[in-house]
Amino acid sequence: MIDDALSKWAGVRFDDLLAYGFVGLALLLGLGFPRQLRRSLRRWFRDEPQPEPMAKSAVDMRAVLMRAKRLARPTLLLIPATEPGFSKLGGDPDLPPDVTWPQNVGRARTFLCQIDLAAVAAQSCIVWLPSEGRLYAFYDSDRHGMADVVSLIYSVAAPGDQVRKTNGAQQRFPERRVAFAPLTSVPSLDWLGLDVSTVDLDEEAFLSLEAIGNAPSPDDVQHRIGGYPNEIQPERMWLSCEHLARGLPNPSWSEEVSPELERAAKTWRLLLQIDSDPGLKMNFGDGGRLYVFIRERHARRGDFNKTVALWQTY
Amino acid sequence: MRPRVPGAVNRRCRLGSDTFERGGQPRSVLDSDAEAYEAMVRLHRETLARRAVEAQPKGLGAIAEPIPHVPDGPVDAIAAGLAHIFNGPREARKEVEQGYVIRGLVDGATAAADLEVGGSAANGVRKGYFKLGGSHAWRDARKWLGKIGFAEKFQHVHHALVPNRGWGKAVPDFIKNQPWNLKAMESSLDHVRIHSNSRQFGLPQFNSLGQYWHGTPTWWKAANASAAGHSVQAVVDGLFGRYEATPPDPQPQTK
Repeated sequence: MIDDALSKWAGVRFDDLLAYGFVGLALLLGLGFPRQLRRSLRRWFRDEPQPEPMAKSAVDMRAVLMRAKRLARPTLLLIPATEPGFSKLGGDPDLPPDVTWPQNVGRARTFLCQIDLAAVAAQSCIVWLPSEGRLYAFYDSDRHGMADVVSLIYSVAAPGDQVRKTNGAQQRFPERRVAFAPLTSVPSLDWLGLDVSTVDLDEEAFLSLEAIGNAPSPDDVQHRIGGYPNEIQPERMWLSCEHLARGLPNPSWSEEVSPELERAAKTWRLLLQIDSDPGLKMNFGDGGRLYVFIRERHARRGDFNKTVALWQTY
Repeated sequence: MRPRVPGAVNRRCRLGSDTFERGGQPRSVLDSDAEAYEAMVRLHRETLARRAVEAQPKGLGAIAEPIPHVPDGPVDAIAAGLAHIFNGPREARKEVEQGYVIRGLVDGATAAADLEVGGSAANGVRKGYFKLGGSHAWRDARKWLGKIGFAEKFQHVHHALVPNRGWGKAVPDFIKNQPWNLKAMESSLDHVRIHSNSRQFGLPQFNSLGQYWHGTPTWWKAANASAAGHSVQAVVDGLFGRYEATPPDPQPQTK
């Protein structure tokens, strides 16, 4: 009886349907998605090196908290201003007369924000930022994944008397004048070098880690200067910056990193974080965020041409 | 009046009923002959059904040749659906053997898609791919995805069907931040190319097909294939009549 059933189900002879199905699938994959087929074949036949599954290890939470406290950095949250000032999100930039509006392939970039560094210096302990001058940030939605998706202009010249109007820019966001609220930013698990899949941490441990700082909830809308980024996706951002600065492809999530690259990558600092903000009609992808990083030494000498911008989304 | 035994056949009664003359209306007076006739018909039907059951093969063969029946409850409906899914490949093979190659291929692909959807659901249940307790905020949900092995440490995870912002903002986190709605991306660059223009390294944004292929979970693609296959089956059945590769068992002949 079992033999009968097996022969009915599996068939001892050539199974036409399976043959047609496999040939069709192979043709579809081979012609339509050659890269995916190659990757799938390598995975099926175990040719792709797989990391050994790691046993979960208990972590000394006290040591983690101490480290997080030691690495905590000051940050400034951009909040709606009650008094008039130079710093703002959206609107039109107050560029000095001799500064040209940044372009990309003949099209003007979208103005994101302008920051008065003197006002920043008065409010915070971000010591590596110049204490004078102004920063202007411009965005290009066609350059996601590239280092210059956000480009900065730094100028110590006085702003122009008249507001520069956008001519042919991709977008114009509504204007919001901003002030700065000093907070403490705590490194995320990525910056602490902890992997939740290999260490045994419960939600209470995460909460105690976040309680060290006083920044808003990571999922809230927040535009910030300095501190650590609020990552949407776990990513070695310092390494992504180093790769982009060197013109290398994005690091894959399983890539081993050379110590030299890791050391160089640690010098990147978050300069600016601009969030998707429904109030300003800003939406970068699916509620994404823009992060502008700079090496500390470049920031100290006012060289804001060497920034690297990253973008993450849900 | 003689006492009536339920189910007993009155052999002396006139075969036939006056239901037709009454226009299908219930009787206004007791009619023992007609009731006896209906009892006889009921007994006859039960006998036929019992013989049909007895004629079916027993053991494993009984699974291969299931008794066709009309589902009349939720459990029956689920069982009938599962039987249909598991029987699909065999039916498709028979169709190909009988020369209906195109129909067999469509039915085979539909059956494979049905199996994939069912397999994904079973796999999800087995691996516990549904966050029940704790915070469902994205940051906590992403940590949980790493813990259960849904995504690697630095792997980007994409909201595939319900976006996090836009119209998805009206959807609660405990619904949208679940594995059914998420796709672990092969690379962060793929995630960039799903959402926006980027000319990085000469790779443009994915077109609609690319976004669908790279940006939706396997179960969703299988469900789409299954829906398309069933739609084609319904249209073909509507146009050319229903085709059964395995014809239903003939009604047992009464002596």
